[in-house]
This record gives sequence, structure tokens and C-alpha cells, in this order.
Amino acid sequence: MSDAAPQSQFETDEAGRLDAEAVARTLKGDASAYDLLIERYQRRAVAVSYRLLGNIEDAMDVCQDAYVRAFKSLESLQQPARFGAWLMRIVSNLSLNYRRGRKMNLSLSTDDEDGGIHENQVAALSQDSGTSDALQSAEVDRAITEAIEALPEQQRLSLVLFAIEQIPQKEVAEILDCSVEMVKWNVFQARKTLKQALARYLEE
Amino acid sequence: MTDKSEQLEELLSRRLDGDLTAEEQARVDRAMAEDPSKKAMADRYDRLNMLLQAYRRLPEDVDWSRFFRRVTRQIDENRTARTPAEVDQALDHSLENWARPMPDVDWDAFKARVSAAVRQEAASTGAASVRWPASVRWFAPLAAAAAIALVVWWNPWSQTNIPNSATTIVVVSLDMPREAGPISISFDESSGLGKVEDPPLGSSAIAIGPRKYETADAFDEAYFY
Repeated sequence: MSDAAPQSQFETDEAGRLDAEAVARTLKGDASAYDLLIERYQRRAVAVSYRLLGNIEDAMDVCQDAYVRAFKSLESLQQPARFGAWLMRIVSNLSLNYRRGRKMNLSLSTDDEDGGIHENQVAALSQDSGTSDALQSAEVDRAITEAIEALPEQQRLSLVLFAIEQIPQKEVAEILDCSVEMVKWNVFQARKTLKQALARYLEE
Repeated sequence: MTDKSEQLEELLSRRLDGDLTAEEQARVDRAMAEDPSKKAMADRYDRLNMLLQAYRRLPEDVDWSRFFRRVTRQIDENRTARTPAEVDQALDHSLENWARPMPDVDWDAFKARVSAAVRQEAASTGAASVRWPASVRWFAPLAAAAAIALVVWWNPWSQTNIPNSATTIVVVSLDMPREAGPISISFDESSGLGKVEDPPLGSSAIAIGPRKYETADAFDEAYFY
């Protein structure tokens, strides 16, 4: 997953050129051009938001909002070739904001969605006849969620974007508005913390 | 934890990303072979990585066409909510950002200012600076501005102001002026070497002269006359 591995320079440049073209056409009123941008990034956007929020419907709501905001602000985009990174920054920020808002709401509720079992785990539990494995899996997942949520925001984002979602380091640095070295450092610190927090699940 | 073991732990983390040099990889391999506790630590990182890769994977049954329709419907609502004038304004703003097109500029006034600055520069062979009026928005391409400076430089009524008419290469640098900022004009006469230093960032340059002009990459688009 090094910078050199995931995408060749040509692919990166080509993607940027296509994005810039789509942005320019969108701004000229071509309705279909923005559709291309939606299709190109929807999976990555929803995946990142989902990793941060843990609920697919919330992630889709956030990403829909992100796309609309990006569309409204498109003329302010200084580097149209970097649309993807720009959109991911919006998605990350909105997801974090959404999460903060949701946390406040949850503190008034007994329904602790984040501390509870996720929808895919419920599905796993219901399908698994030997529920002990599924319960253990749910417990691990819950422990990971708690450990990741306890990380500082930059470390959490670096981990999710780079180490989990496998977005190239340079792009993560652009999304987080920091250096590549800082991304590497944050990922390392996050992993080190998680290794300690999840020690009991990491033994053979 | 010692610095050395902290460094090794960082290498073990980066190893998961395929981010190690051959030398670093050899160091990690050696440490794991020599010390079982290092091997155990590497294994823990491997298992952590596996857990993270499986963490909150997107459900397979996501209805992407439904999502696409949701987004495009809302985009369409926003699109139709814009008046044609707003669309034009957005496009203009965007073009200003990207292409920096020529806005309404009083080119005669600009030329007069550049000319005055050129004369001042020629007299002092230093650098000249003129204030650009705050009321004028200036987004013109630097190359065009430099070209105007060149016209001023070459035009018959200003030739006499050139201090050294035998000069074969002259580089005219114009700092990118901001809306209310200064325009700095400077000249570099390097006929002897046929080579000039790169202009400051945000500047442009014109080379004048028959000789082959040795350029740095930044000068590839310099104008030759």
C-alpha cells in the first residue's frame, strides 16, 4: 500500500484530468457531467463515511449532503483536478460533525447505537447457528469501535483513510491538509494505541 | 520503550503498508529472526491489520442506483433553484479562478504605468514598483502583462531609454499583482552568459536576443524575440 503501489502516476493524472473536465462541464451547465463525478466517487465516499459512522443509512445521508455541498461550492474549487480529494475532505468533515451531533443526541437516550451491535453483526448473529462465534465477533467489533473512537481525530482519520480504506498517502495528506510524513506518523500512533487497547484479541 | 524499539515498531507498522525500503525490510527480518518478542510483536501488528481490514466493510447489498438517484435528485433541485444570472456568475467566478481571463482592464493606463516603471527601472537598473489602483481588478495572465512590458520595451519611443542597447538578452519579470497590490518590474540583462536565473515564483519572463537561450524548466514557456 505504499504510494507507488496503488495507482500509477499516469492513472492519477488521468483521473485528475477527467475530474477537471467534468467539473468544467458541470459549471457550464452540463447536468450529466456531475453525474460522472457522483458515480466515480460514491463508493469511496460512502465507505469512508460508513467506517466513521457505522451506519450505512447515516453514511449515505452524509455523502448525499457532501455531494450537494460540493456542487454548490464547485466554483470555489481551486484545483478541479483534485475534486476527489476535495470531496473526501468534505465527506470526512461532515461525518465527524454528524458523529458529534449524534453523540450529543445519544447522551440523552438509552439507545446506545454506537456502543451496541451493528446491523451487519445482527445479521451475522441471526444467521449463525453457533452464536458464540458471532457473539465473539461482535465483541471484537465493539472493542475495535471503542478503541478507534478513542483515538484523536487526525489519527482516526489517517487510519481509516489510509490503513483501512487504502487511499494513497499523498491523497490522504491532501484530504487532511497535512504532510505525508504526518499521515504516516498518525497511522503509526493509531496502530500502536490500538495494539495496546486490543491486546487480548491479538494474541494467538 | 527505547528509541531503538520505537523505531522498530514504526517499521513494523510501515511494513503493513509495503512502505519499507530493502534496507529497512532486512532490518525488520533480522530483528524478527533474532528476537522472538519482536516476531510476536510483528504478528500482533499483522493480526491488528486483519481486524482493521474487516472492520465495517460496506454491506454487499448497498443499492448504489438508489443512492445515485437520491443525490442527483437533490442536485437537480439545487440546479433548478439557481437563476440563469446565478449560473453565469458562478461560471464567471470559476473561470476567474481557473483560467484567469482578461477582465475589463484599461490597457492604456496599464501601459502608461508599465512604461513609467520601465523608464524608472532603466534609469536605476534596479527594481521599480508601482501601485495598482484598488478599484481595478486585475486577473490577466502574467504572460500577457509581460508581453505588454515587452512592447513598451521595444517600442520606438522607449528604445532610447534602454541603458545598454547592445544587450541581447533581457528578462522582464513582473510580480503577479494582486487586486490592490504593487506591480514590481525588474530586468535582468545576462547577455554575457546567455543564461539567467529562474524568476521568482509568480513572475514571468521574456528573453530578448538572437542567442540560444539556456533555460531551466521554469523558463520553457518564456517568450523569445
